[in-house]
Amino acid sequence: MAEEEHITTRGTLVIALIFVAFFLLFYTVSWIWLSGVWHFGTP
Amino acid sequence: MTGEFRTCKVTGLKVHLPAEQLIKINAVSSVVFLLIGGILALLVILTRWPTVHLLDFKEFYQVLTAHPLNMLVFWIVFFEIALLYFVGAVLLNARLAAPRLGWVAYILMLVGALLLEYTVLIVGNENIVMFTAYVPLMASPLFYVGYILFDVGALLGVCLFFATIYNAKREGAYQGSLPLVTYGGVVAAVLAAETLIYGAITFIPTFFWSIGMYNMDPQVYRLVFWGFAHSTQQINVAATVATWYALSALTVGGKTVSEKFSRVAFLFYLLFINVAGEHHLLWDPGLTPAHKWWNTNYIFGLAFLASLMHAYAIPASVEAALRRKGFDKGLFDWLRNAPWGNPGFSAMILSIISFGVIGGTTGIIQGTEQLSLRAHNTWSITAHIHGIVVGGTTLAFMGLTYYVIPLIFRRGIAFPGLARLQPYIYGIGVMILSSGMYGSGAYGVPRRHWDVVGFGGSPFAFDFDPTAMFFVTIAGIGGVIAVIGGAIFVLVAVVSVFFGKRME
Repeated sequence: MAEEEHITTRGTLVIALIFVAFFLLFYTVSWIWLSGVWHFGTP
Repeated sequence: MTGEFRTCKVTGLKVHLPAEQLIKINAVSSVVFLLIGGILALLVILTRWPTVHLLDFKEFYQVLTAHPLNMLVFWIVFFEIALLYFVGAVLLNARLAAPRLGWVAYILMLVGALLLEYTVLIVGNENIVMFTAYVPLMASPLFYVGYILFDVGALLGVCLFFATIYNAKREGAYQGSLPLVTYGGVVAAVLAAETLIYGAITFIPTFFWSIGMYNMDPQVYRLVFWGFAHSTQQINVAATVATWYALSALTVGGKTVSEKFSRVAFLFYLLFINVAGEHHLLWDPGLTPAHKWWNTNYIFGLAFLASLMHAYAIPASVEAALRRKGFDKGLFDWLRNAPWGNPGFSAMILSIISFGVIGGTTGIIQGTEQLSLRAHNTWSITAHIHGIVVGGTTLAFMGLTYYVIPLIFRRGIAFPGLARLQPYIYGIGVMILSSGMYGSGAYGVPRRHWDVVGFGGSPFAFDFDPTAMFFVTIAGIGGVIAVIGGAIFVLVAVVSVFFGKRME
């Protein structure tokens, strides 16, 4: 039997982690922004 | 029987000729409606952009009613029917179960679509009811007949797909489990059947209401309408993901790293994604708080999990395929050496980014009950749908078209240089458009409004923060770029299909 080829997908894993971090940040900022606690913009 | 097939010299697939004809006619029709919808999109964005403010209010709402009909319904559903025939008959080396039924389905869809175009764009007046057509806004009976005919036609197309799969198994066209892409097509078709039944439940009683024979409850209408209208987008989600798997295979020879993993993710869509449509009703007093709580906090989360699973599996399939080809140094050697000049590949990647980063994240945010109350009926909601369907589904279908033209129409791609650039222009334009919509919506800029600066002289005018107008302008610029990208796609597709170099 031929030796099983091992292919890593760790690049995708890193991209997935970056996406999850972005999502958590975006979700948190949206909560703060849309709840009216804090806004960007002119006073 | 063998006379009804040809063998594709590139893929070795047996192509059932009556299926091929139906794929061609549905695909060509979808691109025609994309062209109409694109022209309407340009008119909408050039009116919403205060610096230009192109149309008067009546023309604007007329165009705004027709734009989503062409884009969300006609372009997408005609293409999806072509896709179902492709993954059902061609990928399985099988015959389409009943081609005549396919033609009946096509004619019903076409007549329905033309009736809707006629009532909205030519008759106008009472038919300017927006995409939602919320009761008690009453359009003419022909408007609802158009919807019903289109709906029944699409449902027949879906039934034909199921019959084709059944026949293929019975006649031994394939062995073992369905290929993953066809499996995704089955999930999309089950969701489609359910959606189209909702469509019938929505528009048949509304038709009788429009001729004075039935009393339509607005609350019931809203509920069943979103069972139809948002579910059409859930068919898109499953069809888009299936298209990504197909594009991964076609562009780099990618194969999912785990069949079970991908199939379970599709199953999650089937079981849990249908509740997503209720995010339109989170502000609605007709549903109980407990219902909304379960919907947004639990069931919807499992559909999101399915998207995350696919979002890992598909790029991983690309990475594994490219590493096998020798691009194996470090973390991102495979990404640097990916075929970025292949429009099928770039369309797939940009579609995943728009779908996940713009459409997915905003969908989760707007599907949260408390945030939905604030964001609803602002331009933020439109940012979500444009990220998902315009950047995600449409771009994925555009990418697949670059393969459908040589494989099914047997023509070479015209203007290959333009075709290489097209996914970037279109994808980046849509992402700028959606970002502008999201930003301005977060400042309270309403969706669908003709004049967010002067409010048409209304005594209830409102002065938005100047930053909101910055985001509105960003949306205007992004929209124009996206329309240019869409126009290039239509040009390349039409010239390729009718004048492209003959293959074989």
